Amino acid sequence: MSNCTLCDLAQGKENAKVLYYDEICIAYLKKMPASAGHIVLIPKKHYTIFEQVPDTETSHLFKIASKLSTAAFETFGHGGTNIIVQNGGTAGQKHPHFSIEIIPRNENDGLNFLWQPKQLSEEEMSTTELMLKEAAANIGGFGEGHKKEVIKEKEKEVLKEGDKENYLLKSLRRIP
Amino acid sequence: MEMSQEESDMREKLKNMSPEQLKEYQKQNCIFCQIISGKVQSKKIYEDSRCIAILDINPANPGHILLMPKEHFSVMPQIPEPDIGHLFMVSKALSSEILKSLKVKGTNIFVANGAAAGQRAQHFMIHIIPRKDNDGITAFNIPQRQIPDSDLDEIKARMVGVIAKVFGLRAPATEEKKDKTEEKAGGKTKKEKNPENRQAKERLVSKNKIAKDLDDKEILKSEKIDLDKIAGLFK
Repeated sequence: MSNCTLCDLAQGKENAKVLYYDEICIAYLKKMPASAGHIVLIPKKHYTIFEQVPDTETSHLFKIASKLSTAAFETFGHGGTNIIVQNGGTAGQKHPHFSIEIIPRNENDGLNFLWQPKQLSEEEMSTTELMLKEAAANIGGFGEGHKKEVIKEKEKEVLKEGDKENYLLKSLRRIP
Repeated sequence: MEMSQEESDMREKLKNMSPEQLKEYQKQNCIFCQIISGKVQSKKIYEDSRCIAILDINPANPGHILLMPKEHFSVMPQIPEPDIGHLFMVSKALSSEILKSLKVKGTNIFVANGAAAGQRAQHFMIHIIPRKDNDGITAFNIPQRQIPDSDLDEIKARMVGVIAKVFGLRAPATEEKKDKTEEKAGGKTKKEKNPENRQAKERLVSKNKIAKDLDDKEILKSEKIDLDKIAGLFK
């Protein structure tokens, strides 16, 4: 037995109502569900938080989550689904093993995952925007040629600047 | 309440539209499509060929991000698989950047599919919400209900068949055609005719592909993430 209940579950050492599994992940019905058909989907490998799950596994997990969500739509024939990740104890995470929860929804099911919006000043919004924009500039390399795009954009900028210089030079030359 | 003439005209118009026309109509009336095309201003955080991330103007917490596919989809089941994969890889990256730059201790990733699930916008989106201790957000404390084990068994029995169907339907139309031509070519063996066998085969093929992809990306795993601290909260 390991220290992680969900690792035990993934290895079949813990009883669960398993709905689906493959080499990467396993999905089961939550013992104490928010609604009928509440599914928990976990990677078989132990990762504590989202950021530790490799890209390929992330991609696979959510493709499966989407299909399970579709299956929930079809089984219960109503409403919709919520997909929630609690990433970190502060965010409500209960087990130190990354998981995705898929919750079938129905009108008047008494659930409510909506939050009270916070009023931020324009300054606060702008500061957050700048910080996140700068941080997000590191994102890329998903194998879809995203980096190339960034480079292209930079090239464009250089070109533009080049044009500007030319223009200035031209106008300088025009002065007799 | 009585419908105004305008409303009933509109309903009639919508009823007579083809799915393509309807999608185009939805797109034209979608505020998020207008944000994506730049017609409406937004605080853009990230953009690539397939998706865009902006700040929510009614945030649950400062730094609340909305990540959307550029193409107009209302709900998740409409989105092609490669795009799902891409969107959530970007979500993870954004979550990671939030943790590092805003010095928060966690994030919630939230999707609402359908009005009953609290979806308000007609454009599919992923919420990425920074979380701090005592930030007053209770929305993501998922309620737990005690239900009898027999109920769980019953739900499982209902879902398993549908899940098999949904996962089985993965076979793209072209493969079905291929099967038919194979049959025509005289390859009419019992094995090939059995859809269960075919599905199992496909599952196996896709499994092997995933395993191969993982091997290819082994390097990614060794990448050091300096988020051990947050993960360490559980140790």
